[in-house]
Amino acid sequence: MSALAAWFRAYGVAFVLLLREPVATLFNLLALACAFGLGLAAVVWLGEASLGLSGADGRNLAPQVTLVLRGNVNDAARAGLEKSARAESGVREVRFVGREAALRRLAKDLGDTRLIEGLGGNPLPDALVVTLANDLSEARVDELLNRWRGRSEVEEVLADRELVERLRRIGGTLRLLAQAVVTLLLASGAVVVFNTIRLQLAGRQQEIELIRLLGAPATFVRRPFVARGTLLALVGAALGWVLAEVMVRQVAGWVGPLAGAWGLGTPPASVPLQSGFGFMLVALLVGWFTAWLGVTRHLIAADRR
Amino acid sequence: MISLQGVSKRYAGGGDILAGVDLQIAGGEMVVLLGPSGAGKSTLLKLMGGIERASAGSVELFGQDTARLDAGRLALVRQQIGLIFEDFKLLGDRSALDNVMVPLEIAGYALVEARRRARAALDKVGLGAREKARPASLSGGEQQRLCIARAVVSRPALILADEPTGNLDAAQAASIADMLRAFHAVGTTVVVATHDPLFRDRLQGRAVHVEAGTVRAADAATVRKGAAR
Repeated sequence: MSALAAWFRAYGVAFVLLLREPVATLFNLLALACAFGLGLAAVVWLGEASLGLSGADGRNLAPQVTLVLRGNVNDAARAGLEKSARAESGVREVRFVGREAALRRLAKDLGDTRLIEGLGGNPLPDALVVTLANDLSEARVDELLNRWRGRSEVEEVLADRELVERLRRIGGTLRLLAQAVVTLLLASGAVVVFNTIRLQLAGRQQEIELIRLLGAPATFVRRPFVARGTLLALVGAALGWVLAEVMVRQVAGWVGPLAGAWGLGTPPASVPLQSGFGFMLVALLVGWFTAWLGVTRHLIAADRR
Repeated sequence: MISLQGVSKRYAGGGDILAGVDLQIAGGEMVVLLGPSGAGKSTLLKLMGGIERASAGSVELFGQDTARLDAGRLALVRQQIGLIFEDFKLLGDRSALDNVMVPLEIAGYALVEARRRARAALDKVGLGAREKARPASLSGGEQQRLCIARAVVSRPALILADEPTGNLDAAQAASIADMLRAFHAVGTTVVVATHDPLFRDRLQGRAVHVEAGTVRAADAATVRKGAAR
């Protein structure tokens, strides 16, 4: 029998054995589904949040610089400034926001035009909104800011660098937190698999001793247990994916409108396929390795005895 | 086939079970280890089977020093040995057929071929009709025959039997002896440990006395005379 056929058979036998112990299997799978499902949900939520805040997903979280123009700057001077800003290295985008457009935006944001009408005129200036590249060094940002401050067309330079840096740091922390949570939950999944295999080993100690007497190599002894551990982890991860999908959808339903109202963007509405399959692969490896470790430990201890 | 030189065995916290044992067994021989309980017969068999390692001296099996074999190679050597135990060591949750298939699964036979060979082995020991029976539903004699079927199914070069008739009546013991002689007749090396003089006489092999951890060859003629009685 080829090694592949032997593995297929081991998985078949493991599947039948899992079905033969429905209660124990059910509880093991529930524990694994909780651990893996929460882990996957954590990946989706915290991962998404950290990516969003750190700009790692390509979203624009680079510092935006607003060049407030003086009231006497004509169109030609403004166009010249715009052109020179665009030519600077490290500048991604330059956008002109006229005073009328700025006022309309303000009115829209306030949702009430009475306050604007009460002003009697438009107090807002024309401005150029400059978006810098994500990976720009602080020295280069300082250099650009100083250069624009020195321009006669510019009344004031407003930069939101500190806010962006803070958001980036929060994003980084969230990513670390996501990794820690996922590691912990994967570890609890591993504990479930390890204990299941340990109980199986204890219950089949005589059988293991016998087949070793008959000349079974360690691989042969290990195979059914590793198959069982892997299968448990795989089914547990699949159930965990379903659980994570339910949680992510529910949370999106509750938090989505609130986040939208605060302009924070919408939370993920579903577990991305890539994350789901990636997590299943990791869970599979955790199940395989944990079972392998459990049996190997047992065999080494038996050899010592 | 088997060569023991200056072999001693001592367990932690105990005295010497075997001390300075020298013994040579050629391929195709039938050897009967005789001696009272606790004399060291089982330990000697375990050393011959590579199940335990000697505290001193060397044990060569199929021309290989067992002390120098790693776990993987030792497992391969063990696959060439058929083991028969006094307490049968059958897997209670498997059928007779599945029990006999275990060595074939270990050797890597395809399922269909393993099943065919296991059925043939069960037929050979007279259990062809009981292939689906669980060990617990078999008599002592049938369980021992099942154990023998498992031991010979992979056609081992060497059979090691430890008190194979310890739990059987005289008629069943005689049947087991006949089976072992039949396997020996086709060239298999057979080493049997027993304290039963009748069983020893039926086997008609070279007798080796094991007493207080040492061995001495018995008069072969005496054994044959006993068998004739």
